[in-house]
Amino acid sequence: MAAERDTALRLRAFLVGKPVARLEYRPLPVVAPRDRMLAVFLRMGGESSPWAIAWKRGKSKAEFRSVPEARRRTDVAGKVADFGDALCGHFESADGALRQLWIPGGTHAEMLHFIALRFTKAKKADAALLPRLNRTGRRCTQLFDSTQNPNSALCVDATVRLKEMFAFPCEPIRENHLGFLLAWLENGPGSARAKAAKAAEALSVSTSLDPEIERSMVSDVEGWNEASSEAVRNRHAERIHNVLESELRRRLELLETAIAVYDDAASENPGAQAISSSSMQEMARFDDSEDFVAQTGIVRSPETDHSPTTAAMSYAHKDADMIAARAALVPFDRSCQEDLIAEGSAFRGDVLSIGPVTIGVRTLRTQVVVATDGGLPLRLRESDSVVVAGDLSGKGVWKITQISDESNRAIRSITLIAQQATPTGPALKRGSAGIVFHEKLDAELRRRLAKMVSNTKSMAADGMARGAWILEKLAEREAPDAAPDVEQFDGTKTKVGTDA
Amino acid sequence: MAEVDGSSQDTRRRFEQWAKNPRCAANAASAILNIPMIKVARAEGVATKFGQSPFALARGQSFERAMFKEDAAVLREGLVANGVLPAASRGFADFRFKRNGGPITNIDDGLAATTAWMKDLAAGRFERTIAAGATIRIPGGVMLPHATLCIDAIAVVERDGRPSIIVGEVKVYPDRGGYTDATQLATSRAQAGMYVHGLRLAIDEVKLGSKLAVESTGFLVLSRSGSNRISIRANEDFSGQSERAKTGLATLSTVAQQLKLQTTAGLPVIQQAPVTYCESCVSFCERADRCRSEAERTGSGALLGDEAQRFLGDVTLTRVAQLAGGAKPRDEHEREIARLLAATEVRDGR
Repeated sequence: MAAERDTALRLRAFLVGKPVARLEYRPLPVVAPRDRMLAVFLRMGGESSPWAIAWKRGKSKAEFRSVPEARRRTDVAGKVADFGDALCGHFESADGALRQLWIPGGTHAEMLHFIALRFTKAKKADAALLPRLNRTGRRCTQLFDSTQNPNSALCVDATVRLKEMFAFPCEPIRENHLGFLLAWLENGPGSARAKAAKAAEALSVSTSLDPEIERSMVSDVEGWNEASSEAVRNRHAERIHNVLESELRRRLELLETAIAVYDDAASENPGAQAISSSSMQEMARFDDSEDFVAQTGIVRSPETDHSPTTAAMSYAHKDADMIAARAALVPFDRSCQEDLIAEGSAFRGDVLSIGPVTIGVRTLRTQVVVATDGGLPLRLRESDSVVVAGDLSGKGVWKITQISDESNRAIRSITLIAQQATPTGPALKRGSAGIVFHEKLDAELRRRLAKMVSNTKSMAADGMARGAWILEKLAEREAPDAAPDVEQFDGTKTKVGTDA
Repeated sequence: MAEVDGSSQDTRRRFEQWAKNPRCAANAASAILNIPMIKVARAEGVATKFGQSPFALARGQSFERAMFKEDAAVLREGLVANGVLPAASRGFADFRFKRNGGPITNIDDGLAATTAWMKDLAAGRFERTIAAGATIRIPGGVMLPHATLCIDAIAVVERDGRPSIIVGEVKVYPDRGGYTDATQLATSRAQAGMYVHGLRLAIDEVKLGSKLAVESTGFLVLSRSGSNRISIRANEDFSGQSERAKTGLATLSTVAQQLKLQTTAGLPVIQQAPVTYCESCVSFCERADRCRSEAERTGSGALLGDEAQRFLGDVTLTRVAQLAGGAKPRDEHEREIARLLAATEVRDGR
């Protein structure tokens, strides 16, 4: 989101004394309770493995697991395997439904990544435990990836989603606390909300415990390590577990509240259906990859892409996912369109003229001239493709042919030509006001690029390294004489890679 | 990760504290006078919850000890594997304090031992190519009363016939590749950059500049997830951070002169110094609540973050409310604020 728009929304929230909606619709599906799993983690200071884990599936009772000493790797591994069994079971028993894992915030997503890094390729553990740990690691890799992907709804970070949904009247740095956000979202006057938020902020929701709580546990942890009898050990273990369970329970309750608040925040964006479908495909792909692992023993590393080609392909897919999520949500949500306008990737204007134009000798197209606010930023350039906001098919493509600012820069005129004989989308006519054109969001192009990067067929045929064809194409572009002729709208012919 | 004799005299921490909010005079005074803000807050009756996890402290120490055990065998293996040190390198210079597992009892001994080691290197004696806890003092008296740095790890190689020092920074957090916390990495690089600059000054001070070089690239030592193994990030470029430290210390020196601070000045100087609240204060300063209340009283835009503060400039939130209520803008800046508010009002109405 553009900084200026973010500031404007914060100011608006400050003026009304409560959070204001950033979006018109909720961009993510919230599945039914039976398809949800909630997970929260705690870690000992300085450690990256979990000290305690709690999870809850559907309406069943929450499960709590902890170890008295988080530095004993074998004990930790056993608890991680228990959690992993529940986690894998949750997704494997989906039976055609979309399943989700909900976590309270960024440090819990980090913990998924820690588990992925530690256990996906672990080789040393009890023989019965090792396959369970490896499987847990692979699943956590997938779910951590999901937290980084706006086109995936498999793992949901509640804090990120509430921040995306609302603008809060506070400093952005304080918004990384789920309790703080939820206190602001309670009913009541602004001063009461602010007070409650400040109180909530004092209690940790991250995977780390308050240092004071940790200090109070030192004697029990040391006592457990040095205990001379089983009975003494058990007493220390019980006390440690009680503290950890109480901390886990508080985080779990906050997470349940957050899901309810998010679910109630707005109705679901109709475009979120596409994100659900994409997530379902992701679940199916994971099942396929598990079959592949079972057959070959080859496991994707959570640490490295291994080759620049794989990294490039992965980057192109991630880019495609970001575009796909935007493409799904923007047509329905006017706030998303406002974000694009603030970024300069869209413009709003009034239609000054509309009429047919002949391109070449016989191609008839529609041309519109739109007057827009010259004071707003515009990253779009001549030759860029845009669509009219609300064109649900996204296929009514218009090409910008001219951008001209008036001398006082108050008004900017933009001329566009439709790329189809009958463009889809809302009908335009002279005098149509407040029409929004935004950049064409086409994830498919990026997906094709990802595919081309790893095209092994051409590689084998030409004896080239993967992706070498890109360098060849670039070389062609730099040598205009070698590039093919392309006919322009006005009938002139130019070389690829040169200006018309 | 290293601390100098009780941490209260660690210049690097004071510098970083100042750099987090250089516009706050109280923060500058606290850093220059080496009076931690927690002391000021406590003197004002603030019950602070800042502090470090006892387990994290223990883990940091055990991580370092394991790394430097047996003449830094673990670190050497990692540095050789990452091409920082040649396979034939040898020797370990241990300047760590006793409580961190080393032989040094106080700062003066640490400074003397480090200087002697640097002179050995300059004389061509390459017997100790890894150093832990090297202690240096920044000349010039920028930070009152002491400007002392304690460097986690140093590797020494030979370049063009003369010894070249490579600075390393040790952190216990796990290396998660591209997902490693960007703020933590930036902080680690900033610390290492400070060491690069400090070492250059210290070497010039003992007139070894022509015989001993300090490289702009160095290394970070992180942990691996869920284990005690180390992960080395070699070829880290600290040149920008070193330049930042140079500029920052020069600015701090000017501030110290402007504030006319004396080593004997105490808490009242900090308490009476003007404060400037900003977003990052929440993350490091124990007096943040007090200053935020002051910002609320004056209607500072900082209450909504640094970006809002930049956008609003001198315009207060009270004035923003007036503009939203239809007050006539006084200038172009206020007109811009009013325009932006009007635009969001339309959207709220939907």
